[in-house]
Amino acid sequence: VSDKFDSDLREHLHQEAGNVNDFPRDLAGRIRDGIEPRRSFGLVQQLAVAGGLILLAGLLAYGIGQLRASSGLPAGQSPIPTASGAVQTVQPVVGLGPFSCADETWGGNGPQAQLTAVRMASHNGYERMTLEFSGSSTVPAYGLVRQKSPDFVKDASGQPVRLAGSAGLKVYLKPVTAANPLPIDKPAGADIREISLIGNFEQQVILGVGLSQPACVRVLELSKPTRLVVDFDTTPASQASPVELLPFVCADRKGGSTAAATVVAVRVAHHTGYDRIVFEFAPQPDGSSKIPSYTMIQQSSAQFTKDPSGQPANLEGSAGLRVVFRNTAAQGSAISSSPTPVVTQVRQIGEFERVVSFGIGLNRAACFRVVELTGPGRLVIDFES
Amino acid sequence: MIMEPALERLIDRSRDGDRDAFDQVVARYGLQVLRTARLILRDQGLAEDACQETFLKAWRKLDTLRDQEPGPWLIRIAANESISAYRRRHRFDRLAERFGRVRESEPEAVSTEERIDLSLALERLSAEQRAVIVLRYYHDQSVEQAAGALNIPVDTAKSRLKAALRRLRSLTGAEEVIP
Repeated sequence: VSDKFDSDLREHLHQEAGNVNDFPRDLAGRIRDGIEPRRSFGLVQQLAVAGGLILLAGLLAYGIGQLRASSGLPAGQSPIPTASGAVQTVQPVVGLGPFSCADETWGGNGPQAQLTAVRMASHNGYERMTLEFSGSSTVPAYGLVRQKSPDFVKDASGQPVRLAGSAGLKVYLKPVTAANPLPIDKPAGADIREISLIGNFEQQVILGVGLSQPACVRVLELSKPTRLVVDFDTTPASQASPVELLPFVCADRKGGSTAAATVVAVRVAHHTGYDRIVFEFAPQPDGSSKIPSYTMIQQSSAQFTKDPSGQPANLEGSAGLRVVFRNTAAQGSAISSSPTPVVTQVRQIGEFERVVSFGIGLNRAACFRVVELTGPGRLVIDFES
Repeated sequence: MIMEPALERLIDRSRDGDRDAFDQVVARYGLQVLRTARLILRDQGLAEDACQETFLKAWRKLDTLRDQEPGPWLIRIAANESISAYRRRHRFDRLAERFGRVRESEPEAVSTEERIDLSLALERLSAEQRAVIVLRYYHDQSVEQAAGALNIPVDTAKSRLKAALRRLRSLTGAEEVIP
């Protein structure tokens, strides 16, 4: 019996495995997009890096000390902003992480706590809502659920509540009670329109957030005091002035939305201080402007691989950037260019199963910045020249 | 173990940071890794995420791969990433359930008195149990090899395997073996 069962089990597993009979191309692309450049450092370079890190740590410690002295913060308190008081204007330097456009975000697992305040602050590129807790050193369980309207239902009365704005975010907190009264700051920017306590029942607190438009969020769990920070991405792509606002960064990049798109034009031009490539997309069926999901991967040569043939595509230049758009078509996307000092060549190197790839040849490895614009939808890449 | 020369060159080039070479490693082992994750996780989306994490981790840890065939090394990473993915998902589900929101992927309850087929029975096991089953019966590893792959004591692997088999037999109605 054992032999037969073992045999059946083995056969069944092989049969199940056989049902997975191909490796998704999209997955291969995601893996390629996710890998970071490997660098080999010699001993001298490693020592230099270590020395640099020690120096940086010293400078940061000195800077934090100065900040604390100037802001009146007591020793031991984090200088990360609580969105209120003297440190409100201090910008976090590192570790903020990307915004997520997921429909739901769940986290936290702390014990019972009391929600004591809801603070608001507006920063460059995002608006911050800070929930402050007492009674626990860790953030309680929370859930953030995005919704397409600012309509909520009061817990437990069931009465409808319409907040200002055209979209919303529901924040669940548990096991949590809300202070009575609960101080809630007025919105500090233009995107968060209204916040309301819509539930405080059986140790579950629900906050409704009315938004002027759907916004991606970023969540931070902070301590001393215990805080749950929710940042709303307010990057006004259509108003952004990339030259003034965005630094050049020497790192791979990804972004965009899940929308389907069609590349209709690619333009290359030189401006003072940078070379610019613009990918322009056709309007969405509803007339809106959307940028599809994209990844940009730097490479140390201008040699690319065509997708899906695998044939080499050798562009002019000594470095390159591979730009991949997902859920995208590229029907008749003409590439027009004028002489540019850094960008040597732009060529479409793939279009298969709605994945469109472009190779960009560069005459040297160049840092770049990315801007998403609307009306029409455009993705702009500026290479520092 | 002596590696196939072409494969050895691919690994060497990948170690040097050649992403195209690593693409070929992914192409060569991707399906094997994905199948392993799929068998453990029973969910295509989660399996693809675990597969992606497996290769990203492999890329970062290529320096630790010394003169050994990458296949078992990748399967080892995949099994552990699958268990981690399962735990992450279940932590998320538990949190969501606390707010009264049950995930759609939650398997339907099946009476243990009802005889079900092996596919459904496997879904009733924990990811940790399925990992041992998959390494033992799909990859034909010994219990000792499976224990090493999962970084658990051999006795733990044995008891996990025994419990998993007993549960599978019980669910499918196969006779219990009396030694």
